Amino acid sequence: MKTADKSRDPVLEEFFAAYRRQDRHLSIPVFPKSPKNIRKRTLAVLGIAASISIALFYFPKAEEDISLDRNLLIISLEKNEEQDPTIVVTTTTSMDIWESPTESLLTEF
Amino acid sequence: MTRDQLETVVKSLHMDAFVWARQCCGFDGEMARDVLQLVYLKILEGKATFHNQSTVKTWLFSVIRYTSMEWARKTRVENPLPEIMEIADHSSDDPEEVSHEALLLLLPERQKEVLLLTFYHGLTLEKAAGIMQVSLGTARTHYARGKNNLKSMILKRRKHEDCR
Repeated sequence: MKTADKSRDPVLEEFFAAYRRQDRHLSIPVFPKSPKNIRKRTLAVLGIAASISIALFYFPKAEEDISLDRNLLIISLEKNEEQDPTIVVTTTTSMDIWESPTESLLTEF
Repeated sequence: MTRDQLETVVKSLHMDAFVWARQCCGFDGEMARDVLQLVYLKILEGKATFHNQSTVKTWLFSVIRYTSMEWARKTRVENPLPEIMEIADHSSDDPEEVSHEALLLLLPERQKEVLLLTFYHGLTLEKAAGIMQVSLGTARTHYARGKNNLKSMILKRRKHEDCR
């Protein structure tokens, strides 16, 4: 016997027919999108993540290359103990803390 | 059968697959959604492969049944029952309010499965046995007992309704 003898059970037939009718109101979830679309979306997300990682890797390095200590050179004209003008060369890390040791910049220039 | 062909057939069986998943999950729709998602993932990742040994529907139903059992076992381990639990007593409930699903839930698991597969999904007893991973003889026994039990419950309910 391979098939079920459903025709001999009108009670059960009726029961399951009513049950099937009731199930027509079930909310069926949407079938998931194909793997091609999923793969494309995954690649896009990976691409964005890779771009952000590369950008984060390079930007801090670029900031490190700019060093005031090497590039800023201060040349000032000062009077020594014999009152002779001499050129003094100094370096500084920040312009905010540097002040002219002579008044020549303020008065003569 | 190619991957695209299989996807098309599985897509056409989506509604039946969801209904069966829900029936395997004790008529819990949310759980059925999760189980079905896992089933499709298994198919897409090649963890569940179709070997053309049966119809796609039989194979898909078998994967759904197995995955729902796996899921139930997993959630039972993660959320064990509390030590003290109040068990609802349905014996005194009004039979008129008992739905189709509630009646089916009163049947033993195998009897419920075989009746759903044959009467609801229109599968042969042989295919139902394949899905349930039991021999045809065992399926036949569950089928006969299930039919008798369900029929007596339906008639009892009708009798109660007539008396009111």
